[in-house]
Amino acid sequence: MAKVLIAEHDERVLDALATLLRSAGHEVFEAGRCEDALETVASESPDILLTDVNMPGMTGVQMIKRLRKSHPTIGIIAMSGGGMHQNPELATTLASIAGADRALEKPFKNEILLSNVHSLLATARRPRAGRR
Amino acid sequence: MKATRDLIIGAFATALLGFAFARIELVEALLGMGRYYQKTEFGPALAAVPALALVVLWFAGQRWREASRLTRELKRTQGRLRQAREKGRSLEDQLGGTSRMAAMGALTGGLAHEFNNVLQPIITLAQLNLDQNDSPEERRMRVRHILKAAEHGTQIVRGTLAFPAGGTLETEELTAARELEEIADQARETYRGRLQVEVRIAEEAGTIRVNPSEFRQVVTNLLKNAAEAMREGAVVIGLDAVDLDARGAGSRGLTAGPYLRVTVSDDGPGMAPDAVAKVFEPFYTTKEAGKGTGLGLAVVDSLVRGWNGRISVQSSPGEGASFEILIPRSEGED
Repeated sequence: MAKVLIAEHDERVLDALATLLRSAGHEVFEAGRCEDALETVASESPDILLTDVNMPGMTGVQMIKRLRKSHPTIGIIAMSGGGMHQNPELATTLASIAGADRALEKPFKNEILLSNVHSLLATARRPRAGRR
Repeated sequence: MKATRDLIIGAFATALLGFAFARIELVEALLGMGRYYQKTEFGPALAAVPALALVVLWFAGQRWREASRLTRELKRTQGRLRQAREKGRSLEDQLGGTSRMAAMGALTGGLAHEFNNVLQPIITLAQLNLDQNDSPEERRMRVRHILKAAEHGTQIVRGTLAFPAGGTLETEELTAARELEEIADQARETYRGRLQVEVRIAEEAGTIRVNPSEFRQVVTNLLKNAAEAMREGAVVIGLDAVDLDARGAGSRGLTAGPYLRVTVSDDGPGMAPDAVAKVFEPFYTTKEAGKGTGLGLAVVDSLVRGWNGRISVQSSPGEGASFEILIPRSEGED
């Protein structure tokens, strides 16, 4: 199985997603802020980062851009609850531009997240080329 | 007597000739009149009378023309002023509407973000529970209900975000009759003891192409509205097929063709004409402060327009209210 880091400012969402991924057999690390997530990436080298886009302080998009340069092999799944006025896809589009491999709109079903994690694991250790 | 007659004839002739020759033969007319008076017993003393009369008439004509010009100018100015006022009022209304829409966009965006974060753990944990739980079927069924409600909540949030641009969710062929029966069953349960819900469906009503969750949201909202308008009473949900000709469709902003008509009628207190005119406007509510957002029927209107349909309402005080939704029939489409 894999090491998955979840960066999510909403504790209820963080707990639920951590429970799901642990039940699927993954080793899960949790962070409520991007700054903490970056420290965990440095110390634990997770295979996959699952991050919310709308985070307090450093945003998810800023973190993705930074990680894409410093850790090109990490698989990144961005998620967003929308909230960008009337364009719910704007946040995840921005995350994709910044370098996220996948983007999910909350609320998503369990099988959607798990299938994205599994498919990313197959490519997570290969350097990702062609990112902006 | 003769003198008076001469005076009257002279004045009349002066006026007549004055009008006739005012522009081109004024001088000649004056001379003619002078000559006439010189031949009478009054002699040359009255020879100047026609000239004076013409001068007075000329001045009167000038004043009359000036007064007419000023009156016309005043009317034109009043017209321009009225147009400017109407334009100003229209711009004010547009500005107010734009501000309200911008505020609503920000509000719905913020609410959607919060609500989606609430729904995510419900869906994740309920589904996890369903996948792993070896508990009795009854309990699993309750969890499925939780999941279904959360998924319906998801659709509502997406539908709200689609406002006011109209429905943007995936549509499918829907047999409205079956859907309305289900909605009615749910309403009977929800408003048990308060509301009698009857469904009258015409045969061969047909199908429509809509998003099912949006359709459910629209009808449920109308039922909720009826329930809130009266302590107890009856609601009739009607469904039939109509063919609109160019005139009937045009008056509703639709194109001619086959439509499916859904009606939701109640025997509640009804609405005043002022309320009827504003009932689909965003933020308009007759409910007391804090009880209504004024968005429910505005969203309903927006969703129906998203299906290329129209909603209207007929109501008057004491006569209940009847909402009519027209949606293009999709039978025969690929």
